[in-house]
Amino acid sequence: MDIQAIWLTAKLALVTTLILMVVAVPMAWWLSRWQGAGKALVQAIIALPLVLPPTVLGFYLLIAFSPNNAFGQGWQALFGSPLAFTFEALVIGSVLYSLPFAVQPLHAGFSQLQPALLETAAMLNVPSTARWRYIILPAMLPHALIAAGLSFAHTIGEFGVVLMIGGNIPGETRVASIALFDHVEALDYTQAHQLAAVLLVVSLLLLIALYWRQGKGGAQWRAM
Amino acid sequence: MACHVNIERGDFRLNVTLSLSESVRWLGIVGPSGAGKSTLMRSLAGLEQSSQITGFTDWAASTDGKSIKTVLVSSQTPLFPALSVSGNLALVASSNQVNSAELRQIIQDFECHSLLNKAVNALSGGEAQRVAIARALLARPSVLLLDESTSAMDTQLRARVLSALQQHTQHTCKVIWVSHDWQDIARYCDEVAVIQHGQQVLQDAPAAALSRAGADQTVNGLTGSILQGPVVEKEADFLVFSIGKHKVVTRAMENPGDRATLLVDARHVLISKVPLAPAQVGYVNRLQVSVTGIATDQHSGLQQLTLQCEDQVLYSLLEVPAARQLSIATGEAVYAYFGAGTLPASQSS
Repeated sequence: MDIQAIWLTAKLALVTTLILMVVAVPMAWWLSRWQGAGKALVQAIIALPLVLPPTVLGFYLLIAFSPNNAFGQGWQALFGSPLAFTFEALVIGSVLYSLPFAVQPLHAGFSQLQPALLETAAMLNVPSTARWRYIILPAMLPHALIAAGLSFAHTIGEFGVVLMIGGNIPGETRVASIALFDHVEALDYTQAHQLAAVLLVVSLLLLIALYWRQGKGGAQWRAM
Repeated sequence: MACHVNIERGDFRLNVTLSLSESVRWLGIVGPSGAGKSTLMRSLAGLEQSSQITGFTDWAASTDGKSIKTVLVSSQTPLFPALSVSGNLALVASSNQVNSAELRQIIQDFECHSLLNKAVNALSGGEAQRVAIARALLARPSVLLLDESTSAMDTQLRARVLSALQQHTQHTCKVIWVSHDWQDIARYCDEVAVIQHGQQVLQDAPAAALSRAGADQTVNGLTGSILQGPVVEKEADFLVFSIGKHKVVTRAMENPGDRATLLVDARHVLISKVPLAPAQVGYVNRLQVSVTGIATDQHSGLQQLTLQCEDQVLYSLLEVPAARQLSIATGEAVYAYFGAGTLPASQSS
């Protein structure tokens, strides 16, 4: 079995999820508080990966990563090697591709956070670190779990973006979905079956876990 | 000192003037639903962005020269759901440098001991209310704003909580209290303001305010008056207080001090020209009074008698045919019969 590809997929999903949690929490907090004129535009840009063909996102990223462009040039100057077709490129692509899956549950959570709770905390002189620790974070934890679970699952299921910006380098960019495609191209159905079954079971288990939590009174979410 | 609170928000307009003199330490607020009481309280707590307030800080600050700190407790004031009751109290205590002895005292006085380990969502309405009041005091307010904060407690518990509150706020904190219970207001408040359609329509000492409000039933849906006097006799459940040479029986439960008050609802005051034994009419109290006014109430079509006993006023609402048969004239001396309380609340806010 293609252990290397499965391991790489897990690594990519994990790194992507961790980065998304760091990026999406302040973004969702800000979105839930901001009432500016450009809000719809910002929300639409974050939600774009939901509707855009992954190849479109992958195509623009590939262009941006090229050493002929500022971003690619900057990366090369900083790290000494081109960005395209590396694991780092996959991480950047995955973060953008799964961004709505992280931001939307968190945004819903922050929006549902009762203003009266924060008002009361301020009125009772509770300092802001304690407010985050005892009031905001506990209320947000179920939403954060959903955001993390969906980001992780969605990254595992990624194909188009990876194909465009990662190619098919074993141990570097050859994730499970790409390896599966490869096996089918090579008519190696035994390997393809094994890999497909692993992806199917892992994704199914993840979603069962999320729905189970929802049934237990965790935060609500809709499959997008 | 006049305190003005002004808010305009769409169709809703609140323009209230409260007279906040140094002698007013507990101010009651009454008024019908939708009068703007809760909005007024939120404004005073600084939670209404669009409100303009003048003249409040002088009154609020005049306690021990402390910094101004207003804390609101209302049905919209949540306990922190991720923390237990003890967590809620401890968090606010530590945020306000309240030492553990003070914290223990407040837990004891507000009967929170048996609740400490409970989750917030496992509390009953009355339990949550007393935790919320205890927690508010831990923030060391200079003005405590209570918006129907004792409504879910039973009468005995409410009496204990209010008397604990009176003790804890005595020298350190002033109280503005929205309630629909005139009896409570008469007992604890120095003055009461009646709010209607976003405006203050009168402010006075409770007994005087109620009798002035009594002339206009729409103010509070209640025509009634408050009798009060020194306690002269005490038993387990009932006590007797005096109005001049007259004696009035009331329930002991709500009257812990040495002065008693009794709210008398005008619908429950019967009149006769001859002295009957009070038990004959089913009420414990009989007062000899003189009729000082007779008017027909516009809303109910009832005849409203204004009765005077010493310096205190009593009202009676009679059906018109009954009043006609009694043929009472102004200036006449009659007997008024009424119960020992507790009287029905005039309305739920």
